[in-house]
Amino acid sequence: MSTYQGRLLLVDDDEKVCKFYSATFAREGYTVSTCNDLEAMREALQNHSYDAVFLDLNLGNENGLDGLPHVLKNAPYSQVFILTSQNNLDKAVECMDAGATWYFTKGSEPTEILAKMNEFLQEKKNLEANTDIESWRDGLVGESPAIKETYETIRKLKSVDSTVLILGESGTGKEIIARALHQSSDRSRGRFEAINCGAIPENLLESELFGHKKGAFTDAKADRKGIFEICSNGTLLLDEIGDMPLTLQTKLLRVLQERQIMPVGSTQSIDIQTRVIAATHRDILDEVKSGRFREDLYYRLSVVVINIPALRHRKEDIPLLVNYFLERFNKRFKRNVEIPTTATLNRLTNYDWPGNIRELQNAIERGVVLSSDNTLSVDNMFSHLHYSQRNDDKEVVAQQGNFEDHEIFDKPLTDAKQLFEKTYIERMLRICKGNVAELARKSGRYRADLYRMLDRYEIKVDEYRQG
Amino acid sequence: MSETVALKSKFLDDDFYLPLLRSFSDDLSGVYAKLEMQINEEKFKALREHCHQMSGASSTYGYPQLALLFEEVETLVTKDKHSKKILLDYLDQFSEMFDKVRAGIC
Repeated sequence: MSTYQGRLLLVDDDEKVCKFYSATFAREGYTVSTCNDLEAMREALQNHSYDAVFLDLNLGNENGLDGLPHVLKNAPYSQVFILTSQNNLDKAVECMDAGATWYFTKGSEPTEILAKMNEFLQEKKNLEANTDIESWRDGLVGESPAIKETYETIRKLKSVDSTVLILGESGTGKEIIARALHQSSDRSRGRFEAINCGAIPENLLESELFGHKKGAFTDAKADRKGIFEICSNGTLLLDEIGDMPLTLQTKLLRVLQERQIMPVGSTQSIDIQTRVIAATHRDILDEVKSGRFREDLYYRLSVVVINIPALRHRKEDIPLLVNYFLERFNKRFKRNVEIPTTATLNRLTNYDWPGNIRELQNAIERGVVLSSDNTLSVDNMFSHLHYSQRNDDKEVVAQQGNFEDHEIFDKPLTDAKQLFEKTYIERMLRICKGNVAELARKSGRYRADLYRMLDRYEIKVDEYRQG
Repeated sequence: MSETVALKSKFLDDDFYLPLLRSFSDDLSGVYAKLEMQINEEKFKALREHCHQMSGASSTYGYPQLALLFEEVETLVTKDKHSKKILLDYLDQFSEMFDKVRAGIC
């Protein structure tokens, strides 16, 4: 068996092609996942980080190139290779201009594809390993006291292997902090892997984490290494740890205590040296209190806790972030949009950004893309808010509840939070006409997360679809 | 009766690919049936997409000649230069080519 080289995602609507390249890449030591359309690709990218994504251009009714911006934005650490039957130079130029790393045609020799891909992946690794000592700060923007404290913690953790628990609202950049912790540590030459514990079904999650033996279950056609073993000398981010099922929490606790994993269907333990970083947007102490999260696991994970402040609590960083994203999007879209006026910047600073940096990033992207005169317009940037305002008619307001008049403020914080969460979801479902995928995009939450909330609050999505 | 000339994949010498090539070859009966149905029922959009997909798959599995044949049909349909008679002629060519692929695997 070849040594593990990395994780790849193949996006192609033809199963035959997926089968061929899966086998070819797996033979060289890559773990390969496949999907047949862009929706499945988006879901896969939410669950794992990939070293490279191979994207077909013709996906039945979809244009594969339409998926490229999503990968560049949501998986900035992945290289994107186009793999298509279109042998067309103009198309290749168009794809690479749009941000693809390289363009392959399906008749290419697999050895050539592998060699070129390895060259790019190695180049990236060398670049990461050889840049200056503060290179881990890439993507971390801000000079506010709160974020400076985070930088300081990362520096202090440089030469230690402690388990870290990252807490922060959705969109605050938990994965970026986790990558920075990995990048600044002695493990930076090892692998960094991230897995979303809330988005993968329980029965698959165990096998993803710990691996499985051939025959352990119906689809286990061969031995497969788990993510713990894959990054044994590196770092594993267990994202949305607060959503991990209780049964797996018990197993994870044992792994952290004994530094050994037991693949599904195996009777032999494997020693691992993986550093674990966990992250969640949940109030984890609240989860512990309510019995949904094991207290002993919480103490095991929270050796060092990093609290990432919400953007509304570090508003002084907004101008720096605006400039950072403006520069990025100008470069990506080949635009020359100027820095915003003081009035525009004031509007941006006064807003509370409930979706945090992710919402700000999207607003700047919208501002750049829709700009017709090279200026950032508030209307364009806040157009996502206008939509909900348009729906704020009396009926909706009445249905959604007015919190000023509501008993919410007389309730204990936990109950008030739950009431708000339920009302928020009901209101957003109404706006999204029961479309949970759209709700996930607007709320900045994973769908699995939302389904869990819908279940918890007994909200019936179908009722919103009929309207 | 003359023997069918074998069409060999460029990967045939690598044992690793043999099960994949067998599976590709086994699927060709289904591909033929689908092409025949799409031509007879004049489902040209579906035919074009199917030919595009098969052209990519044929290239991938090391059959450039087969890929070219699929590409010809895809181009004809895209440019609206097809007639049922022409497409039925192509269907015969596919049948021959598929036999050659099968002969190449045995």
